Amino acid sequence: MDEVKSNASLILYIKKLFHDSTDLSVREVTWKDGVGIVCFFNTMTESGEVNKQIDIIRKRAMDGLTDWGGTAASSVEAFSVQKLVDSVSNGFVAVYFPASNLIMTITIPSYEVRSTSEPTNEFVIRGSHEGFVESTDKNISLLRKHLAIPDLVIKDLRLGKETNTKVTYVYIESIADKEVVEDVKNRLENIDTPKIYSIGQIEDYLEDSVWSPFPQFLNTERPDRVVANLLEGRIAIFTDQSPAVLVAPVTFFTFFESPDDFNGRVYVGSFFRVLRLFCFMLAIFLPAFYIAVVGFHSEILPFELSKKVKIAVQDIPYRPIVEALIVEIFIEIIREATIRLPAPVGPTIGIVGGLVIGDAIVTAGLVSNLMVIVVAMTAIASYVVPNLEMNTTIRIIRYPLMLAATLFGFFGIAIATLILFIHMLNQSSLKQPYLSPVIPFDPTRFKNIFFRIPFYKNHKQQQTFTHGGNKRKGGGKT
Amino acid sequence: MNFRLSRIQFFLLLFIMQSGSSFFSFPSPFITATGRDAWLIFLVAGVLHYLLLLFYERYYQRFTIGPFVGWLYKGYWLFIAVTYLAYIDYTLAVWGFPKTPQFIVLAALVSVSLYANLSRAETIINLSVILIPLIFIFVIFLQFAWDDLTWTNIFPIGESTEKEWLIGLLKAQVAFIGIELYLFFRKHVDVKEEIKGFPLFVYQMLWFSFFFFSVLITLLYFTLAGIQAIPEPLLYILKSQELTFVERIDLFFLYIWMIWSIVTVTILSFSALYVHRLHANEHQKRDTIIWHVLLVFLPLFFLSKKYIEILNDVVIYVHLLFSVLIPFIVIIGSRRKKK
Amino acid sequence: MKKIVPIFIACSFLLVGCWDEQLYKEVSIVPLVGIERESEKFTGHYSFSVISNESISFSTVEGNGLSVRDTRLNANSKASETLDLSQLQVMLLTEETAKLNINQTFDAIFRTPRTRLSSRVAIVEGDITPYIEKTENMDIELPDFYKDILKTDIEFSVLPDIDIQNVAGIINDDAIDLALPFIKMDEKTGIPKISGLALFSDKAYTGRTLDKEESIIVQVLQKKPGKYSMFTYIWKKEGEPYPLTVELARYKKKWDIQDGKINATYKMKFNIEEFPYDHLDNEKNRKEIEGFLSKELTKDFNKVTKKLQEAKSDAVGFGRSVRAFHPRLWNKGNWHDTFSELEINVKVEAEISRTGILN
Repeated sequence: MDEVKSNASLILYIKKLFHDSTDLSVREVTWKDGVGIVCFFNTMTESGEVNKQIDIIRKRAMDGLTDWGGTAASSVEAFSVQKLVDSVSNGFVAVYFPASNLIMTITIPSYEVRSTSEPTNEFVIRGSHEGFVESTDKNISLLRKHLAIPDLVIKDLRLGKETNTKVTYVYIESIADKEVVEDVKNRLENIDTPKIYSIGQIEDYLEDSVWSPFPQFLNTERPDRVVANLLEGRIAIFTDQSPAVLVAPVTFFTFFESPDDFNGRVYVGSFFRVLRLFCFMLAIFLPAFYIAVVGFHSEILPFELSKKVKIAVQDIPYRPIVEALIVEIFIEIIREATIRLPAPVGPTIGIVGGLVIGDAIVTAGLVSNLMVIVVAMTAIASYVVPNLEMNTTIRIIRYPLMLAATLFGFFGIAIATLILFIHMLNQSSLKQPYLSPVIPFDPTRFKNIFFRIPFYKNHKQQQTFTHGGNKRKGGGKT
Repeated sequence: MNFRLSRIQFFLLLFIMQSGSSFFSFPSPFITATGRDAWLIFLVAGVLHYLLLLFYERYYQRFTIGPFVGWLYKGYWLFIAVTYLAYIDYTLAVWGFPKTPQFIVLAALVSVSLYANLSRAETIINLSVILIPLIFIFVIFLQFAWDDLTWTNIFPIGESTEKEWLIGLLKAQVAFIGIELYLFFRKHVDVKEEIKGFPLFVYQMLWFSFFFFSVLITLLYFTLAGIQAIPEPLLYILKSQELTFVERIDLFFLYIWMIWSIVTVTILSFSALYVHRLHANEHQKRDTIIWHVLLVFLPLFFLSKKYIEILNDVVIYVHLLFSVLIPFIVIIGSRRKKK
Repeated sequence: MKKIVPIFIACSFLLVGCWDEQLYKEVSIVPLVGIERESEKFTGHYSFSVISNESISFSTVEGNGLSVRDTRLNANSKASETLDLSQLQVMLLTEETAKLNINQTFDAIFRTPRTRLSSRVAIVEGDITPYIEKTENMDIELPDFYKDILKTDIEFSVLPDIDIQNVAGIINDDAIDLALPFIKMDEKTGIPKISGLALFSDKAYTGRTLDKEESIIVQVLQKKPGKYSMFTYIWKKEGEPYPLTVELARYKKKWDIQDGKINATYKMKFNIEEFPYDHLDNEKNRKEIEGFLSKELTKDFNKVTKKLQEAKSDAVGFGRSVRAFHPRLWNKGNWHDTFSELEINVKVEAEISRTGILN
């Protein structure tokens, strides 16, 4: 650094670096041999605390300790402008010593972090009611609390030139598959974008196929869920400022597990797990099935039922698909609206929308009451899946099936199901097969899909699509 | 193409291929040709099947093919795929879609195979898994016919003439079609997993009991005159069952059968393209598409009752040529070369 | 471009529309059909659904034609919606129709995939019109009425549990003959009632019928009884009549077939349903009742087999056993003739196993 540069101009230079932001404090403090320039954002740091820390460290320096700067909250390094900018931007206090050309960073965070509360989109009845918050440090501390083991590895990296977002990935060394960890690391490092501000962006970059309707990452805000998944050898990805955590590699069936299963009785847990899979089928096939029956295959109805159906559909002016779309879209609208509605009016509008309009639409003869039953049941069934991403997926994929059913009846449903199945077979999460314990068939883990097994066993991930082969060779196209 | 199969995957592939399209259509012509002794004849056919499997298992490593034999097999599989597609399309038209233009139904069927064949090899190998629960449901629903079976129908024994036996054994070959895949995919099975001996016997018994069950239930349910009148007896049994919650369960099984056939056609296409890639590896995507375009258009020429019958008759002889004669010649030929 | 092509194709599918669609609101369900045939002329009566004020009722339309399908076409033009036989519950045939080969009448039903094969068939006495038109003193709709009375009588072993599909199976089997429910008009009430079984020989109706009691015996002989099979006799003791009703609990059948002779033995266990004489705790009384039952039942069973033989109708299916195990007897000639000339002895051995709450 230039000796000639006066301290005042140095301060100006630093202020210039941050474009004269008003919340930037740059001050001079006297030090043992010359001055130190303290700079920090006063919005992210407690000013009083800064004074205390500097006093402590100055005292250490006066006492003649050789590593006076290395305390629990601070460290000393060689100076560079980049280092200064980085640490100040991240909420550290930076102290520059022009005389020795050193920089000391002190950690005194004081920005606001929400206290942990139960995530509103993932309620459980039994089990922990903690949720992640918008700070990686706090989130990791929640994890560490659950997993008091040295094997829990936490790795950081910074992404995005303009936003400089901290991304953290977490895994358990002894359980996680090394190749998968390596893969995640490579993929994260290869993200080339100036701005990262949400976890969804990272998900897009990491996914094997973005165009698939199926989520390939488990998106959760619950520490207990992340812990359970880490123990099964998965990797969790955090971004700072986001309570949502990505968990991968997951299988299709991961989305049907809820922490409730493990806290409840064995039979209860198993029953609900099977119920959720059943609801998945119901939510996808029921409207399509109804359309196919009313439009093509009315002969499959037993006599007593057929009379009821006949009375219901007799005077409906529209074709079944139009009828179904009216109700489906109507329900989607109510759903979307109630998210945005302010809490006090939400339930009221829900009731007006659901009951009043629903009833009126049937009375007016636009839609048959059976169709309302079918669609309403489907809507409820789709919310049984304990993951928001998966239930949006379910709601989306039933439209193509309904379309197929209108065109060809059961034939259309069969073809569409096959295509869906092939798609799911092609799907992968971090190159791991998506339908894993079922296909490729793994008898030891297969039962876990349907039963919540009483004892907990850690296992490695299913590795490849090819039986027994080396996955680098057999991976095929992704 | 580099893929490896587990023992279960290999046998599943073979089983789906063999049962595929023929399962529903097999009992009727077979019993018509043989009469009440059909079940006895099928016992003998089962032994032949096992001998063929043992022969394959012994010599599969010598079965190496060049482009010429490769082209022969591709032609054969095209023929079989076309036969199956024509048959399933005809049946769909009769049972469910008389008015829909047939090329649309065919295109829908073949598009599934195209999609699967453009995916990775593992997808096709695992595709047949979807059928396992469906086959279970199918067998369970057939049990509903239990009350209507007439046990005395299998007697008296031993009335069939020698000629009927011969024709019967020939007709039983329909259940063998696809067995030649054993030679092609056996070398992809994980070397660590044993096939010789007990596992092969288990597969033989599975195959046998499945087809034997279909022959037996048809024989017990229908009178001989009835079987002659009904080309798809198993579907008919399902059609006549009365359940409280749903009528016409045959409709569901018609589509299950259709899925079964599509998977079979997919496996056939996969095998043909696999053999093709052994000696022509460029333009994989183009060749896959050409193959499937053929699959859409060729069956259109054979969609009447007349051609369906001819194809179903001819297929037996073609099958004998390709699963017995040619493998025999190839294996003997490669033995000479070694000397 | 690659993404657009499949979407374009999918959309063009939508524009073309759906060829085989048959909207349920546009078809009319036909649960009851009556067929009349006079050699070359068919008349079909179709009872189809009419919906008014959120409730369903049935009215009848008549169609003439050269075939069964033709009558439906004819009737179709008179009804407002397409008549759909996929919900067929009961099919009624006149005696005249049944006397011709009924395989021909059923052909259209077996050939089309949409029709229901588990519907029931019955023969009606005389002209079909009164049976298919609802009269005022009937509370429920006709299709439900026929369905219910047939179901009840199947449960009480009067009728065999057979549907159209079984009918086809039996007609095509030359070792067994068909026996279909026979429906008569009750002259007092004007409501149809089941009177027993109509016997077929080979593929045609013989014109002979059995009454309800005899019909129960046919089901029992065949060993395909319904849920309950009951017999009632008057037992006399010291000149005083006592009614005796027994329910068949379990039984074993044994057919001993020789050339020209069949000895059938039935060992039956009964529950007493009604017997005002009581005193069944007495061993002697029980033996007496058992002896009485054996005698009466043997008499009645033999009477029924005689009737079957006279009609040349092997409704019990002796032929199936004969064909399977006794080729010599089977190959004697036409089974119907052989059957009518056979000597069939039925022997019933009754045993009382339960006496009810009372002794």
